[in-house]
Amino acid sequence: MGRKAASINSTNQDVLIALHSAPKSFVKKLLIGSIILAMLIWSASALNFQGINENGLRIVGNIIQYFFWPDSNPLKPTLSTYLFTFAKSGVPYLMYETLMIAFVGTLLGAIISIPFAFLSSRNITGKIGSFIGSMIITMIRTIPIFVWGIIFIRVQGGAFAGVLAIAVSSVGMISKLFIEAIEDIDKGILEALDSTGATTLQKIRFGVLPQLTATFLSTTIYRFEINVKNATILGMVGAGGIGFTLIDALGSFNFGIVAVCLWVIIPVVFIIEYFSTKIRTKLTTGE
Amino acid sequence: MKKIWTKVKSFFKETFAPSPLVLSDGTISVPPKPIMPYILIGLVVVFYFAAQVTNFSLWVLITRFFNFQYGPISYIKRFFPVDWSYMPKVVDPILETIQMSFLGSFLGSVMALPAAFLASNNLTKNKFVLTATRGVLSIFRSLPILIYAVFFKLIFGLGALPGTIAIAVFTFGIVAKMLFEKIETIDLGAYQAIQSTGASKLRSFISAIIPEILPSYYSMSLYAFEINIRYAAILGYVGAGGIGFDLDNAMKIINNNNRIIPIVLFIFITVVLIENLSRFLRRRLG
Repeated sequence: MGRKAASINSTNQDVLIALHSAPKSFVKKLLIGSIILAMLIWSASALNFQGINENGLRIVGNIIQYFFWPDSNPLKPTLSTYLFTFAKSGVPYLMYETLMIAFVGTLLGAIISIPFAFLSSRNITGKIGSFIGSMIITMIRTIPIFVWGIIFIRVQGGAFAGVLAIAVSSVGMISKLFIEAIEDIDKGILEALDSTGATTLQKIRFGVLPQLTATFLSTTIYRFEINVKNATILGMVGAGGIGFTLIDALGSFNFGIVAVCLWVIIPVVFIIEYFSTKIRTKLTTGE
Repeated sequence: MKKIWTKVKSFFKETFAPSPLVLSDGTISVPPKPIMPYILIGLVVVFYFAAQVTNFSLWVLITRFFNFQYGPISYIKRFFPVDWSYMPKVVDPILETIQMSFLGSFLGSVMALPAAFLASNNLTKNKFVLTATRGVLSIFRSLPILIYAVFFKLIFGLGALPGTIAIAVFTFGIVAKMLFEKIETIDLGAYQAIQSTGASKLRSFISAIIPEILPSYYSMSLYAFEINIRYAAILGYVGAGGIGFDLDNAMKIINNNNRIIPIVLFIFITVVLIENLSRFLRRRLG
């Protein structure tokens, strides 16, 4: 009994010693905490909360009601006019168009990114090239997608403008990730190929491409996933897709149409995300 | 002619089904069946149909692009001469954008912690709770922030509040997802040890899991803040506060077109500053 107590006591001693010799981070934590608190107070000052009025509550009620049953208003048969139809104004066609916009846009963006990424990789064009490249990339990534949409509407309104906006705005992220892959190329393989007497083309075919394909594909698939979401709002500026119908319906309190749009968008995005994650894990971990 | 045909045929055969290689010691090595050519063919076919749906045409692009009277260049020309005197007026909306983004990211990240607890399959054994939480999270992630912003604008009226809530909802979705994926990879030894002393699940979560995920959690929240700045910049389009409202005005009203460059430049500087700050902090977190 006595020995047991002693051993517990010594364990307690150890714990106390460990506790006292732990790094003292109290001041640091206090400092960080107060910075965050100050930021929060400052940020909260931007909000102008006037309380939810009755109108707002009624809208919430309507949104919930229509989300579960879009045909709540018997005067507006929403399901038959918007969901169960393949007309060009129907939600299924609009979603199909949205997906196609995202697809073409992503593909074009990836194609543009390939030469761009090679030109701005440190191991190919050196420091200056990579600095200029990274500046352009940040610029492209910063400009909101609507700005691209509005610029490209001058080419042709509708889905085509959406495609171009998606393509250009994708170049930023895609080439950023491409550059990382290119800068990570294992030079040993190229030297090994050199020693076998491989020509430049063969070196690219057997030394460079196999190292890059997986990353390039998974980056592009990932961007496609993001672009589907982007394409659903591009319609707001008249660049095609489901966005116009959705935002217009929201603005005019047509919650039935909103619900139908969400019924279609949420599962489609979910399925794409699911398969994109599956394919990307397969690509990174090997077949 | 025939020779070329055989060459083409052998090229295609080698691309789709490479013939086995016979090595010098007589072993036969069969190269793996390539999938890339099939992927490329698939892409081209889908591209063909997609291009028809979206009216994509390289010809229209080129002719319109170089149409200086009505094409995109004509629009960009209107950005000049740049109205630099507009610069000071951009500061306030930019600060508001940062405020919205910070508060939204903070609220979203705080809410994400309990949700991640409920959504990780090694901590929550109840299938129903698990599926329900993950379902809600994926719904939150699958819609663009802008649509939430419109929703909340209808409820709360114009201003920074709907934007902040929209950002919080979206941040909640992504941070909770990253967090539960992180929790699923950690070693549960300490968690189970604390539970075996009779501590409740919540208590053991706080004592064992949180210290372990805290650095990643901070890093994820910072990352969310970093990307939210860019999203916050467009929320003003629907009247949900921030710089987007000014940008929308500048883009739509012809006389204001010369304000676009100052606004975009300001967004650019803010994004670069915050991205670098956040990356610096995240690197320090390890």
